[in-house]
Amino acid sequence: MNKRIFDNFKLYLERNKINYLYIGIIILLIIVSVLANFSPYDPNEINITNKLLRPNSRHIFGTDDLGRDYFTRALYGGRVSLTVGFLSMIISITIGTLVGAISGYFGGMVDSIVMRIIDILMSIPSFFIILIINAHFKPGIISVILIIGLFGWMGVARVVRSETLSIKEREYVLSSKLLGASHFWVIFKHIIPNLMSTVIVSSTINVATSILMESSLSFLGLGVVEPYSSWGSMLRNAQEYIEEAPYLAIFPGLLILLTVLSFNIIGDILRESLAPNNTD
Amino acid sequence: MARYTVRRIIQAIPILIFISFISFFIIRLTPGDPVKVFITPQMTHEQIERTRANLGLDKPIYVQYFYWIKNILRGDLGYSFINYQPVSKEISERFLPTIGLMGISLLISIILSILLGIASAIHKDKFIDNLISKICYIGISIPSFWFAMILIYIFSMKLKLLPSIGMRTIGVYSILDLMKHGIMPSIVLSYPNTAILTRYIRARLIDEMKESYVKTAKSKGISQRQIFYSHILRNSLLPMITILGMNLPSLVSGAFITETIFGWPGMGKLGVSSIFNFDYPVIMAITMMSSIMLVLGNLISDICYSLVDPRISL
Amino acid sequence: MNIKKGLVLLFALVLVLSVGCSNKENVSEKTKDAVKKTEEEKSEKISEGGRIILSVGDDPKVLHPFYATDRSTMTINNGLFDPLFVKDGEDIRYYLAENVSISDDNLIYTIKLKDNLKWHDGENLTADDLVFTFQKIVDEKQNANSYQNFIIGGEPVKVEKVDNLTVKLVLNKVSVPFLSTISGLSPIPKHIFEGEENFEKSEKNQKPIGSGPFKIKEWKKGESVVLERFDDYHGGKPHLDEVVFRIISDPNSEKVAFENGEISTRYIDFETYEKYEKEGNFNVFGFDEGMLNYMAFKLNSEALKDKKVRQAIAYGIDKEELINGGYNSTKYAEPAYTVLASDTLYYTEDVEHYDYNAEKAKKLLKEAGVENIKLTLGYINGSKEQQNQALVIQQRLKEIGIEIELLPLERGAFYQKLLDPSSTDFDLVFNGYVMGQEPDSYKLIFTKEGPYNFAQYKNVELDKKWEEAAIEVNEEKRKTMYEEIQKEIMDDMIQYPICYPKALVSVDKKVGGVEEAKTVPIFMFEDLSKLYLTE
Repeated sequence: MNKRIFDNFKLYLERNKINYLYIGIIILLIIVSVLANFSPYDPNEINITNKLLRPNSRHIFGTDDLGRDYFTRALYGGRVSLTVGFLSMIISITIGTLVGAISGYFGGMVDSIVMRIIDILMSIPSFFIILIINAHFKPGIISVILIIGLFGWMGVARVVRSETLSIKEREYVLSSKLLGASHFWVIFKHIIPNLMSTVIVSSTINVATSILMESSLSFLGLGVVEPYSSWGSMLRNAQEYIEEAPYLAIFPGLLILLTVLSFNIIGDILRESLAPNNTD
Repeated sequence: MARYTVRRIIQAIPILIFISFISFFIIRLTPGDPVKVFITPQMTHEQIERTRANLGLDKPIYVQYFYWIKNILRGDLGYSFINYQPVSKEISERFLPTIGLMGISLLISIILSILLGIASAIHKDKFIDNLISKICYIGISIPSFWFAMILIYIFSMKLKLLPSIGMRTIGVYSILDLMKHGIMPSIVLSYPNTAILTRYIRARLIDEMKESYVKTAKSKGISQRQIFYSHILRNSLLPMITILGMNLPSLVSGAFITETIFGWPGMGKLGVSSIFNFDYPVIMAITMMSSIMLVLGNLISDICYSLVDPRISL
Repeated sequence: MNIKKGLVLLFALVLVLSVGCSNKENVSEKTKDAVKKTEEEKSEKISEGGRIILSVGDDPKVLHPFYATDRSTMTINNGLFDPLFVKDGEDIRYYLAENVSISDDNLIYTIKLKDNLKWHDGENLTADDLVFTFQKIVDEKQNANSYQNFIIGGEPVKVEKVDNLTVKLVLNKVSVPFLSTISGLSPIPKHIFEGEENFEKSEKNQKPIGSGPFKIKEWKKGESVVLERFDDYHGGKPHLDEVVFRIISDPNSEKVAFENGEISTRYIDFETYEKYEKEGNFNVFGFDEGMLNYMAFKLNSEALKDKKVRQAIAYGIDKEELINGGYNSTKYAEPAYTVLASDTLYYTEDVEHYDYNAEKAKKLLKEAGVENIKLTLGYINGSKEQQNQALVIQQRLKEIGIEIELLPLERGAFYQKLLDPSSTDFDLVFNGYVMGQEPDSYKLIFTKEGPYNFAQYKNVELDKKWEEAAIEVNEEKRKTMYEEIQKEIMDDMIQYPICYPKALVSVDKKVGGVEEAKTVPIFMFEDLSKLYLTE
């Protein structure tokens, strides 16, 4: 089954070569963020005499208002943004998959209660609630990750549930149940592995939304705080210098856009390649 | 039909009560003491406690919640901690700007997405389809505040064509002025929704064109154009109503950011500043208003859907 | 850095201070330094009418003189409510009051009102209103900000009506700062508030009736507060038809709005000041804020307990370099040598200046017998000036063997840590204050029980001196006492004064009368009735 996904995925990529670009962007961003330490500059080293330098051969993204190398800061910022994106995705996906699978598998009372709760949670203006919680908790990467993760699982749960509803009617599940396997066993051995394709698609899209969410929070000053910076918080600072130094706003914004765009497109390619009628 | 509507409305009530319960506890249990905002270092312990009692914060949370619900049912949203005015008044003054902005943005999204969706579907896989698809991808991926910054930079700072803040020029009361102020905020707010809707409409149209009735009609000699506009389009646009309902949350959260950036005097801006001020009654009221908007939005979209599509039995 | 942002940050603290201590109006003075930078045409024609638009960061809260604590509310209140008088150093500028006299025993203050005073609704403003105002300030139920200041010697100040325009205040104990307390105080209308149970929550604050040059026209929440001309204003009909306070929370939007002509004036930073000055498109002004920026030593830090270490640090810093780091030149910030603002009564520079002397610093450290000191310096991360100054200090102190770690904090977290005496997150801290011209208010910072004694300074002898100075009526003796206090604090070096930053303001070319209106801290203009548009 995983082989099928992979083959189809490759087929889709081949069909439109430009799609390799998006995968390339993400891989590149991950690599350079991980290797950010190798930059010759310290992201926090202040050098007033060098402030607000336009992009040049020594500072390819220029320097910010405190003379810090903007490229290095963008790399470290990317580290934070990507970490937040991935870790909150893991939280959302874990909760969403479990809740969705359990709800769909048991059906009946359990299902309707869980679905009702999800309906309600989805009617809460979650962005506002996230703002509230973030404003009053000790700000920091951990709380941002937790909060975004804990509010992002409902959509996943819905998709997983409807997928589970069809999987649980399959023969091997039914026979496994007849043979007396425990619910726990069935869910973890049969249902969840078969959900993998759906989960992968959801994860990809979820990373994208988490990164966007983090950037909005940081932009409002409620996300990642000093000494860390993320692309969102860099934009917050750049706002003040938009006239003198528009490049301060352009680079982090473009990085967010490219990253989120790539995740969204890859998510869609995955979705299409996993769709049952992907032969046309 | 009427019975269905009534039933749905009745169903919405416990949902809203439950939402209020969850929100109330989330808001109150987060660390941070609103009384701190009022304390000056000279205040004695008694004075601090009196302030706390004045704000109604000296009782256990569940009691506070009970009072809150009781007051809500009497139509009393309480008083702002910050300026002591009735919350209902604070909210009602900001209601129109927000609803106006959202309404216009929704309208823009619907019109644009139908046009773009049709264009895409008709020219499937051609240049125009690819272009629209790229624009849509950017729409769902661009951070809205960054988009707003770019617009302000170009249209307010460089070209000096559009005002960057507020809803009107002081002393000017004209529709034109209002429109000039509203252009950038509504573009920022409508872009992501337009993108989502366009993609959806395109997909629906393409699916619909494969349906057997299209082939049948074609074989009967009805022109392609006629089929498209009389059947395909109608059938494809109906489900859009549900999608609209589902996308309301993004509109609401978008409003918080858009209003803050453009200084739009609506509920979103009030909401963000009330968070920084620990103004619980206002925070609660805005949470509830947004929830009601979401629940109502879904309700209306369901009802509309059933109205326009007789195939759905209630 | 962005001055306006910096100001707002500082005001957060300053305003807390002024609420608690003396009245807030006395922070508002000092205009002799107001320098007009741009040539103004001599034969400027006043065009009657028109409107100017000022910007405020947030909606005003309660438009009632008893409760204003933030800049927006205070600024707008200043247009709506006239003060009795404003004490500016030795001078007194009278507004509603015709004169104020103090009895020989310093216990009775007699306030006589002008005879042409009217409220915005046309009612006469009389001694009854004034009596009502004083009675309500000392009414504990009303929670007026200045309540504490009217409790003298444990008892509320007594108020008596003498005749229709005269009111007598009787103290049971001498209090020299009391004149500052009533300076800037605005009366409230009795006919409006009589019988109102809770002023702060009153509906009437939505459409306040005041006595100032402008009355309220409309208040669009989140958008603007519009004031219109009050024709019966006692100081003569104001020139402008309208003064609008536009609510703009984002400094960047404010800048764009100002350059596009949507607002008439705003606070600017020195870079913008120089730019505007050079380009000449806007008029620019600088004026003394009565503000002191300083670095405080937290005495709960082990290394800083020794006076010699603190002195060594003071000698180890080059003040001029430090100011240049933040403000490019001393043009925008005068160096400070004492803990009082330069416009404070009995301010003296006759204290140890701690001129830069690395050798002496090293010697002091050796005497103290400490090595390898590591200290943390806390400040607000939004402030570019502080950030830059922190770096200068870090660099200089490294030379004398002290390592400084920088700790920029979000504004909220910063104040929480600053106000929390047990916090050990930082040893050194940048801050600023506007305490007004009355030196007595500084005891809130330097006495053991002072609520703003962030350094946790304990000096019993000096505490006594503060108490004595407050009730000393002999001018000369009082002066000497405050000078001694300053010398001693500087010798103890619990606070390293840095500079008195100037507020920089840019004003649209069309706006005239700025000098007559007087540029003052917080409100920007003291008397809005004097502003006009040129033809």
